Amino acid sequence: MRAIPLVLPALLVLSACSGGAGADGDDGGGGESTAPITVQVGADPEEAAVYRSLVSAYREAGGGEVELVTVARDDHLTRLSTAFTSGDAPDVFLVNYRQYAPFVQRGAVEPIGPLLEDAGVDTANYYEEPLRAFTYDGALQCMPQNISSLVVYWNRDLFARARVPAPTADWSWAEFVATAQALTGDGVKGVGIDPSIVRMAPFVWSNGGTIVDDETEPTRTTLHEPDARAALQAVVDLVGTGATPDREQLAAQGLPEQFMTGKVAMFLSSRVEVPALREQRGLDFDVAALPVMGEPASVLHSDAYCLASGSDNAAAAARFVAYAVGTQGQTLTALAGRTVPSLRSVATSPAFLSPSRAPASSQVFLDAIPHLRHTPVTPAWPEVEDVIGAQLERAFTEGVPLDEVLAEIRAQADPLLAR
Amino acid sequence: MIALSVVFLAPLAVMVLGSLQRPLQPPPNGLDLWPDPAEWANYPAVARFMPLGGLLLNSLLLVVLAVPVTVAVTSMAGLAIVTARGTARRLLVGVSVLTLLVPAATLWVPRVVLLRGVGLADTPFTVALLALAGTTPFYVLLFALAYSRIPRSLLEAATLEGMSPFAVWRRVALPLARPAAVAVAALAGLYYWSTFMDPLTLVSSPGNWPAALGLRTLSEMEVALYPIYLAAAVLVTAPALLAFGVAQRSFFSSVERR
Amino acid sequence: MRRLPLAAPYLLGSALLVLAPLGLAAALAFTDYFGFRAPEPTGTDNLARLAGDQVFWAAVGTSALVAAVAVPLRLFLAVGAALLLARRRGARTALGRVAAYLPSVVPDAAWALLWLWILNPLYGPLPALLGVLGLPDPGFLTTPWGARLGLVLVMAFQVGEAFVVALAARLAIPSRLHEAVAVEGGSPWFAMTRVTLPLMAPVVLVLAVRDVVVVVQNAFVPALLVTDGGPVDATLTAPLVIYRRAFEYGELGYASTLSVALLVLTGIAAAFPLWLAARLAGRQRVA
Repeated sequence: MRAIPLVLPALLVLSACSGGAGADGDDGGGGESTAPITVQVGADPEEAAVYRSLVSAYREAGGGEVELVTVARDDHLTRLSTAFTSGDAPDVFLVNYRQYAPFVQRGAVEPIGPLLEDAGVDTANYYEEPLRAFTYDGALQCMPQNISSLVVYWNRDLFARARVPAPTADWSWAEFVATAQALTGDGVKGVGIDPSIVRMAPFVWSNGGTIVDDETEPTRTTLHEPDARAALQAVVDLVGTGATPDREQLAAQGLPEQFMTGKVAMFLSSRVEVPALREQRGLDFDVAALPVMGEPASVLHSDAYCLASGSDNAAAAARFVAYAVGTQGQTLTALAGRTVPSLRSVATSPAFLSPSRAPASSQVFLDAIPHLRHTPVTPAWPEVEDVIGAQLERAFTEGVPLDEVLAEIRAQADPLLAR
Repeated sequence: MIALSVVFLAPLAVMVLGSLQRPLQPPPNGLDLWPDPAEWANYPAVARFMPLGGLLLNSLLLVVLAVPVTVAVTSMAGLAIVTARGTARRLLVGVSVLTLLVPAATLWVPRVVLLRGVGLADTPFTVALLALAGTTPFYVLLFALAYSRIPRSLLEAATLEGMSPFAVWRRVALPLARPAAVAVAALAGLYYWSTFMDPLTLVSSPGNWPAALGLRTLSEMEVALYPIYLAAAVLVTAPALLAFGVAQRSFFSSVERR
Repeated sequence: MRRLPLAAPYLLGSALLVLAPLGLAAALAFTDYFGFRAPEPTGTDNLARLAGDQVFWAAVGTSALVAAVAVPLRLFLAVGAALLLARRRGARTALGRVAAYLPSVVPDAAWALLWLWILNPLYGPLPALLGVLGLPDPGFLTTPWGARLGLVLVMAFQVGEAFVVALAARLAIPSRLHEAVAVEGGSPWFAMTRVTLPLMAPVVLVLAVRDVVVVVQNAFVPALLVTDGGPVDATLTAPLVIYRRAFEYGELGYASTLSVALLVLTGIAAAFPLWLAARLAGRQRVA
């Protein structure tokens, strides 16, 4: 706890450094006089620093001028929509596979495949699952930068203090619940889980259920069917034990913050948290596989670089993307902790796996790859997620019976999928 | 009356006191709001979380562009309302009342589509275009109120002497309505300094944002850093308070004078 | 018509920035439009969707509810302050007027940031104050009703515009009326209820209508920045639904349908009080 006041200075130093890097940017050589391209990413301050270093490395490698626009993670989609609406879209934007389909459907995305080929990128060197998730209408639309998945972050000190053994690779749901309960007490909660479909999906799958009737062309949700329902009920029961933060705690502080400050001992998230967690001095954390209800399962988390269809600078934009997903770019973002590289050779290299940089057990992410699945890629999905999330929140924090919530999800989400 | 003043001033006092707390501390016990010692370093720290300089400059640009235009447009329209008769008057009052009643949300989408069509969306001065419509009819009505206290014979005499409507406005009516002009200038200045919803929908590039919109990013900050985001709130509020302090006398006298 | 040249810039500006957008919204309301390809006319599809749009209607209900509580509260504060600060001149009156207007001077976003902290269940001073006083904490950011109450609180203080209008209306009442009441030995209560308030009634009614529009609209900022529409859509107001539909889901066509629906609903809500205000004012002129 003594370490908490150090976050601020750390943050300050980080942003000060990156500010400096932006200021002295004219040493990239005036060889190519192409107009600068604009790249928009949604990122918290620590992540933003990673992308800034990627952009300056690209510039130093003679790649050309890139104007990086970093916006808050929750604000990214809105800013992107607003930018497209006002006719001032960025040339390149980084977007999650759960959210890119509407942009493709509306004609905002230039399929990236052919341009990347011209830039010398061979997709055979990359993991297949993210490429599949970003293939829509039979074409690779955007180029994935990572193959992350949902894992359990856990705090070593709090485990030791509660004398709880470290998570094992194939721990069961029951062991997970018992661990969470054992960790709860003395101002600490055992585990934090956001009420959202990306957090629930792996448990539904693990228990033999599905979230929609057809993964490629969904027409209705299936969370109310027995296997899926049982998985959700198990999570609701866990919440009922009091081993998760109550709603005052959730409203007061986000889960990552609570984990950083030692208020929750475990939380579920993807690789995206690592840069911020590394900055938290005194925090000793690691990652573990998700607990298993039936079969091992996890859910893909992947972001890809998309080219805006209206860009005047598509070739330069594709060159930047090729660099970002190439060996140098992938190594850089992997070293900074942000990504589980989509490029196989970097994912299996020490840049990603070295245990000297937290989390020590990064192999967990690679072990999850064989049983990764992804949520449906369809234009209505972002809104379906919002609907399901709002309803799950009722079940988690307001004690509304699960069946009532599931009926409401069918009533609200199914028409969206059917449209 | 004192109780009332305290009610209105309390949130502001809380804002200033909160901005001087130490960041990343556990919350003060109960109502221990007095910062001890005052943490002035929160203020320079704001600049590390948002590009304050650029944002404030954009806000200043907006105010400088929009305020004179607003005063000109509304002071002319106010005089027209007072001197017009019959259909013309009904038209002006009708347009003003309609505009007052249109929820801003109704205009978000069509405005951005329209401005995009003519290539005026997403610039630092896009929001200032609203001054062409007088910003809000409230200002027009404020001028109309002020002009209605000018003896009608004075305006009619000026017209009979052959002065054009613009000359009457410029040389007779406006000088007599100076407090109203100061009041509208102050209100419009505050409006463009504070506006959040207009740039939120009309201006997409962070480089073109005014300061009030820049504050939005801070709403997602860790709650433990609240003294810093309160310091940012104070910094953005201070110029507005200052302007209001200077103009408040004319402002209140513009409603008071008979 | 001779004077209309003076109104030309205002009329032109209003036509371009208010009337033309309204027309465009009415046209886009019957299309699918996402901002990339040209709008596709879809007939009355959007209207059918609107009729069955539970989220929007629930949000309209939330907006109406917030307005029903916030508007009387705000008018009470604004008119009350205007009456208290109308009479005496001097430093204390001047100070009081400044104090009453001051919260309206704070930019909405800064104001929202302030309340984001004030209402925080663990860090905020207001829940702490309620705890010290032994009062129940409604859960400003955690329970649906608490969050709606929080929204009302955020908006309760920024009543500058209404205060100034009410002050002007109060000062417009000729002082000889009050002098006459005093000479006849009428109590201050009599003067207030039989002279001041009846004469101010039309203005207060117009203010009420205007304030409904203001509250419905301005609740957007705290709903976006403080509660984010939550918990569980409890503070999802109509403008926030329009904003999300347009700028999060990118459906500009259907968002226009919602925009026009909001305009029509506002018009219906405003029509009766405005008619009443016109009648009251008319009767006073006759009397």
